[in-house]
Parts: sequence; C-alpha cells; structure tokens
Amino acid sequence: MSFMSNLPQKDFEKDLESVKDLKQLEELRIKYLGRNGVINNLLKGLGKLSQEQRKEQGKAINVFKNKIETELNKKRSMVSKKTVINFDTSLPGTKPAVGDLHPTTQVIRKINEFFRYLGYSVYDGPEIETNEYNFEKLNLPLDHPARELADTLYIKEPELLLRTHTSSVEARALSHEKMPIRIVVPGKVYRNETANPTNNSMFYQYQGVLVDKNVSMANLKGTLIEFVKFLYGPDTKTRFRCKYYPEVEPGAGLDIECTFCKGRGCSVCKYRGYIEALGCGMIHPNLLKMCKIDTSKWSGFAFGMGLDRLVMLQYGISDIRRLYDGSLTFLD
Amino acid sequence: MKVPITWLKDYIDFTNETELMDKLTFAGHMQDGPPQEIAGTHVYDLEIRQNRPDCLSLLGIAREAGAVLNKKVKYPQIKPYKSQVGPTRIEIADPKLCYRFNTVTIEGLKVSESPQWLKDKLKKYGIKSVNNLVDITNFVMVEVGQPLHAFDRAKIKDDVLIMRPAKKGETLTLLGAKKISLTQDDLVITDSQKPVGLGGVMGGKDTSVNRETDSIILECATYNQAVVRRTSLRHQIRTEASTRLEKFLHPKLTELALQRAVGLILEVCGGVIVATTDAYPKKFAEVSIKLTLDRLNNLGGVKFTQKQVEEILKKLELEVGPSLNIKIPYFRTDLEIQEDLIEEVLRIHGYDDIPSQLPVNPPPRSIDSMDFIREEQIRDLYAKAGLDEQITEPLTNEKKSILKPVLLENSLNADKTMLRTTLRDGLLGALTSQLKFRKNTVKLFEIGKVYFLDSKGPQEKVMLGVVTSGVEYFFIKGLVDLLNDHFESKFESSDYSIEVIEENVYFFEISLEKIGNVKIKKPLSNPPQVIFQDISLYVPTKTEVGKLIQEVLKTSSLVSKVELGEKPQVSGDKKTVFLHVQFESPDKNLTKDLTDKEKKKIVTVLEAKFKAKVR
Repeated sequence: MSFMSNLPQKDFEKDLESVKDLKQLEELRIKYLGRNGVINNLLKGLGKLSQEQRKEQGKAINVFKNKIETELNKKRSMVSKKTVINFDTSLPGTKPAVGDLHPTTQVIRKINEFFRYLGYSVYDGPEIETNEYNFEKLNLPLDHPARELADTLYIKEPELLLRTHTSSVEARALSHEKMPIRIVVPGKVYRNETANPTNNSMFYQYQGVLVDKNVSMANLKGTLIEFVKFLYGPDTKTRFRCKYYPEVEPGAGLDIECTFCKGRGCSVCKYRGYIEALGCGMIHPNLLKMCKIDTSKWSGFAFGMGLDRLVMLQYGISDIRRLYDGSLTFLD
Repeated sequence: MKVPITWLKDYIDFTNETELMDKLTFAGHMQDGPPQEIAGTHVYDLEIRQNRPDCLSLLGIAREAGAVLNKKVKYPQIKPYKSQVGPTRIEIADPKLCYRFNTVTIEGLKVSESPQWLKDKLKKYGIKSVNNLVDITNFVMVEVGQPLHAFDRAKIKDDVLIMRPAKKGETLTLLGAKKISLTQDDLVITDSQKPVGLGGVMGGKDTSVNRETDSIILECATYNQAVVRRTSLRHQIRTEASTRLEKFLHPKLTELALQRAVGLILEVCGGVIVATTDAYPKKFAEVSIKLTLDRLNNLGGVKFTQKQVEEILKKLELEVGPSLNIKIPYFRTDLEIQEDLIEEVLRIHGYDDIPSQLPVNPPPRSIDSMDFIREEQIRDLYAKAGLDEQITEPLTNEKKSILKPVLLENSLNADKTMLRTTLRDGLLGALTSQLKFRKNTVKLFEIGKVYFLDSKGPQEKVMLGVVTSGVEYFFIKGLVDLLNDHFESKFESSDYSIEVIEENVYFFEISLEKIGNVKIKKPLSNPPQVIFQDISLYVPTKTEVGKLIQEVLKTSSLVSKVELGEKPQVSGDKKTVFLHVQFESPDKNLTKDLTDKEKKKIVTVLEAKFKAKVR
C-alpha cells in the first residue's frame, strides 16, 4: 500500500504553475514548507499511525518535501530571469579595452613559437658588450673589416661597445653553457648609421644556435627550410646558397622568392627575384675552440636574421624609424 | 664585380650566360640585379664574398665559372721579363705595412690614345679611357685582380721610391686634384723627398703620366690590407685599387700583374726595360690542408666518395695529393683550414643537393631566460589591462638624466649621444604622437633597458614604464597592484613614484629586478569560507587611508582583502571611511562570532592608532 497518493502532490503542481513572481513564490514556500505549512502538518499526523505505517509514510513525506524544494528552486531561477528588456538593443556594444603588443614583439613571439617547438630556449645577453664577445670570439680579429670604427658604436668607456649583432650572445652561450644547447636570441642591436627609411642605428636581430653531436649542414638546411615555410607559408620557394660569414664555415644564405613579384624582379627585391631571409652556416671551428668546446666531439650551426624588414613587410610599415619612434598607433 | 660577358669569354667558353650566373650565385657569388647592356654586351654585377679578392678579377671569375661548368680556363700568354739591375732603387720602411713591392722602369715609350680593342674593353667594365699606358694598368687590374700604378719617372726625385708611413704635416695632391693632409697612420709612396702616392689607394697628381711622358716607373705592391682599408676610410676615398688592396691578395700577384702589364706596354707603347726591382722581405709560405672524407661527410650531410671529392677539387685548380692532402694555389688566400675545403666541395657539388633533415637528437634541457619569460608575462597582463606596447629607441640625447648616463664615443647623429637612463622621454614622446590620432584615453607601456654608470662601470637593467592620459590617478596606481597580485613580488610604494606630468597625464617606471614568479591563482574553496564585515568609521581629515588599510591587514591574519565601500567623504575636521573587509580561513571554523571578535580587535587598534571613531 502506497501513501504517496495521500499526499497533495497535484495541489502543489497546480499552485506552482500559478506562481508569477518571487513574492508569490515565497508565499508558496511558506504554504508548504513554513512552520505551519503542509509538510509540517503532515509530519504531525504521523503519530496516529502504526509504527510500520509511520516509517513508510515518513519516507514518502520526505521524498515529497525534497521534490518541493527542488521545484521551488527551479521556479526561482526561472522567475528571477524573466527581466523585461525595455531599452534599445540595437545600440553598439561596449568593448572592454584590450591593448595591443608592438609588431616586433608579435613577430618575435611567432618565431619563438616555432623554435620552442623544436626544443630551443630563449636566451639573452647584455647590449653593452666587450670586444671579446662581440668580435674576437666570433672569429673577427682586430684587422677584420667588420671591426672598422665606422660601423660600431663605441661608448665612452674603455673597450666597450654596443653589440653590433646578436651573435655576441652566441659567443656568451658557447663560453658559459654546457653542451648540447639549442638557443634563440631575439634582441636589440646597434650600428653607427645615419637614420633613413631602411636603416636605423637601433634595430632587431634574431639569432639561433644549435650545438650537438653529429650535426650537419643537412640539419641546418632542414631546420631553416621548415622555419621559412612556417613563417611565410608552406608553398614558399627557397634558395639555399653558399655565402660568406666569418662566424661560420661552411657558410650559407637562405633566400625566399620575392612575394611581391613572384621571382620576376621588382624594387622590393632589388630586381633579384629573391629576398635574403637568413644568414647561416656551421659554426666556425675557430669559434668553438675559442669558447673551449671540443671540436672532435661537438659541431653545430648558427643562423641570424634581421627582424625589422620582416615586421615592416607584415604590418605594412614603409619606414623603419616609425617602428621605434613612438608613432605606431593601434586604433581600438 | 662587373662582369662583361664578351670579355669573360676571352678566358672561358660558355653559351648560356643565365645558367652560368645562376650557378655562380649558388656557388657564393650572387648576381645582383638584371644585366646591363653596355657597348653591345651584357654586363652582370656579382656580389663577391669578402674573403675572395681573387674574384675581383675576370680571371678569378673565369676560374669559378670553369669549376661550376667543368671547363678549363684559357689563361692569357704571359712572358716573364728579365730582372735587371738599373738606376731605380726602392725600399720598404716597415715590412709589417707592405709585404711586397716591385717596380719596372721603362724608357723610350710613347703615351698616346689607346687602341680600339683596349678602349672597348674598359668601356664595358665601366672605366674611362685615359691613354694607352693608364688603360693598360687598368686592363691588367680587371683581368688579373692586382692594381698597379705608373709614375712619370721625370717627376720622381732621384729615381727612388720608398714605402713608408707618412709624417705629420705632409700633404699630397691626388689624381683628380683632391689635396689631403696625411697622418702618421697613412702609408705613402715617396720619392727621395715627398709623398707621390697614397699607398694602395691612389697615385699623386704631380707625378702622374701624360702625353709628354717617355719614361716611367711602373709600381705594384701587396699591402697590409687593414692599413689600406683604414687609409681609404680616413680620407673617404674608395677606388678600384683600394677595394682590392684592402683584401688579402697574395704577393705572387704583383709579379704576374707586372709581367702582363710590361708585355702589353712594350707592345702598345714601345720602350725598353732599364731596371727592375723586387722587395719581398718575408716570403709567404705555401699552404697545404689535409681533408678527411669522414669529416667532410659528417659535417656536410652528403655521402661523397674520395674520387668525387678529388674531381671537384681539381675543377677548382687545387692540387690534390695522396690521401686528400691538398696544396692550395696562391690565388686562394681564403683557404686556411679543413672546413674551408669542405665548403669548396659542397658549393661546387651544389648546396641544392644537400638533403634537408631536422636534427634527430632529443632536445637538451631548457636554459630559458627567466627574465625574458617574466617580461612576456607582464606584456600579456598589461595588454589584457588595455595598455598598448611601445618600443622606443634607447639611443637618445636626454636633457636631464636621472642616473649618470653612458655616453657614446662616435655617434653620427647629434640627437643620439647617449643611452637612456629612463623610459620617460620615449614614452612621453609616444604619448604626444598618439594624441594626434586618439582624442580620449591613451595608455602605453614599454619594457626595455635603461643604462647608467656606477662605480663598477656601465650597467643595464630592465624597466617597465607606463604613461597614461585621460584616466584617473588610481588606474595607473592599480597597475602596480596588478603586478603584486600576479607575481610573487612585493612592490612597495618606495619602489616607484607616480609622476604627474600634467593634468590627467601620469607616468611611472619600475625596475623589474624584483619581479618574482607568477602566482598560481587558486579558486575559492567550496563551500567558500568567506565572511564579509563592514566597518564604518570617522577619522581625522588628514588620515592616510592607504596606511589604515595596511593596518587592518596587519592586525588580523584572517583578513584577506580590504576594499573601500565608498569614497571617503570629508565633513568638518573628520572624514568617513567605509571598509568592506573580507575574512577568509583555510579551515572550516570561520564563524560569524569569530569574525565579530576580529572586527572588534581591528576597531580597537584603529581607535588607538588612527583616532578613529565608529560611526
């Protein structure tokens, strides 16, 4: 015999349906769950029943009570949500203010993403450098043309200069870190130039270094061609050719087909059909030796690129000076 | 290097010039732009590698062409002249500055217009014809790659040429009439009295040849290339001669160039040799390099056989001895170590044929720069907070430096004489630019280094700078609090100061040395053990509410946050402070009673320390 049928379930459902607002809902709650409410009265009536019936009826009342609570809660959220919109919803929304990162930062992040995936760490070093790390350890002895006063910005302190390339950080890493290493170095570099639309005395370079056992030119080429395809798209045409840099031997240059003229030759690529994207090569044994690395055990490659031209192409900026003179404005 | 196709064909046979230029580009000499049409031939411009001065000659280019096309070079017939003791004497004052110095003295020649073939050749290369004698020296320079110079012997005092550093106060009028003051760092050629040529760069005007000349001293020398380069830079004179002599040319070339020139002069201008000289104080040693096949294949990533390697090296006119002992010919001054030869094999074989393969070893442990990572995290945080990032140039000219600045020694720009000591000027400049485009609010930040001198010398440190316009003071202040919320670092008010630039324009910068790790932000425990209590007070008007809030936090360890419920209102000598205090407990025993007690404790302290009264 079930006592559920004795309980005023139908009444509750009817009452619930008629509730229109929170006030009526509260009245309903008092009616059923209040001190003198339906449930309490039902519980009071239990005393008249036999022990067995009491147990069963008690259980049924509890189930009913839980149901009431659940239904009231459900109704509450429904009633309270029913707010009337009485304003012009066609007005434009209010955007939260979100800032933008500098284009150079954005390009650095994109490139870092690729090299991190291949296990490279982002490494940095000082901008005020010594001759040792900026030149000597990079196989650039005193009489090398790259060391002419004209290119390098010296500071009024003996033997110190502003790094002319991020290769200085390569020399630091090779001198101080344990091999094997994989690092990339994005950073500011300085040259003594009169500023014009394509040259500035401060600009950004991106350097990469990998030293490990059994590293070959094939690894260098594989890494950089994948990189260029990541950066410029999978169909990018490349040219991997022999090129001279004192820091590497053998040396190479990776060019990409000019995206503007598709290799036919235009003013952007100086009628070459290709744009020089990266300089690279196998780290020169002199350099490894100067950094006290055993060349019979370790070999490696290094690559470097200017970032500014890349940023300018991607963001449609025609004058390098604008990148760093504070005039870059992002409108919200 | 300009390469007139018809002239190049004197030394090497080929039909498809486009193919050749492509191959040379891949082999290291990049074609720079499309060819020009000059005097009926295509002239290509090749970008020659810095360490290959041998390729600043058509014979050098022909050798490269021979290697990539697998053809033999057709060398011109050069007949050595007989050395002859005569009236001309020469001297090298310092063998560290000049490695070899040769002359040939010729009498009874006739200077006149050049024959047509000679004029045509020089025109294609782009050198103006002067007379047969000068044209022959230029022709030989382009063909062989070694510059030479003819002096009018009648104008050389005592028939003597000396190679020595210039003396202070000496001057020289160069060809083209430019008069220069010489320094002790310049190397000059003098006669018995005065300078007659700027070593490796240009001859003097007063001793130059003309149509009346009938006797010459033809001079050819190998210099310390750095001396030539610096002299050329110092006097801002770059010539066809200096661009070659500032690089590592082998002394053997002086002999070859003179033989070639003398042969042509005797044929075209007539005359007889009356004296030859040769000062070569320290003979250059022959170079041999051993190449091992294993090293080549490991580094190159290509599997060569010894036979293949030998064939490639022979194409480059290198002498291949037993077990890959390679004798380096005089013209290849760039080949010094085994890796140089590995590059030779690879580039002639073709860089295109090197396979592409990602490194196979597992990546080593990260050595990421934590500084860089934190900077990136702050960039993200501030961009989320609505600030735009700027990067401004550290080279500047500060009117007022806040630290002892690092000054530049040799800047070309008057407005860039030092490194910045603050991000302020750059960011304020950026603000001014931005306000042209944005009328209402501008919020900018920069993360970059400042530079200064201390007792240990020049230092650099990373700063975070912020400038805002059109937002209230507490917005910019809140940006520092944001750092404290997100990083395990505590920036106190003594770590920075907010500068009021003008009404509604604020700036601060803060050193990132102190920045800690990113805090892990935990969600509220469930059910939340949080109870709020409001404290409403009167305090004397001058009370610093920020300090009062700090006191609340200090007084009860259960307080996790204190916020102002409303802005303090001043009335008479007192103001209202309405604090919304959040109590939080990691254990479950947080009760109303407990927080009531804590609240009481707080009020007692505030009454005592801040003369506060409960409202």
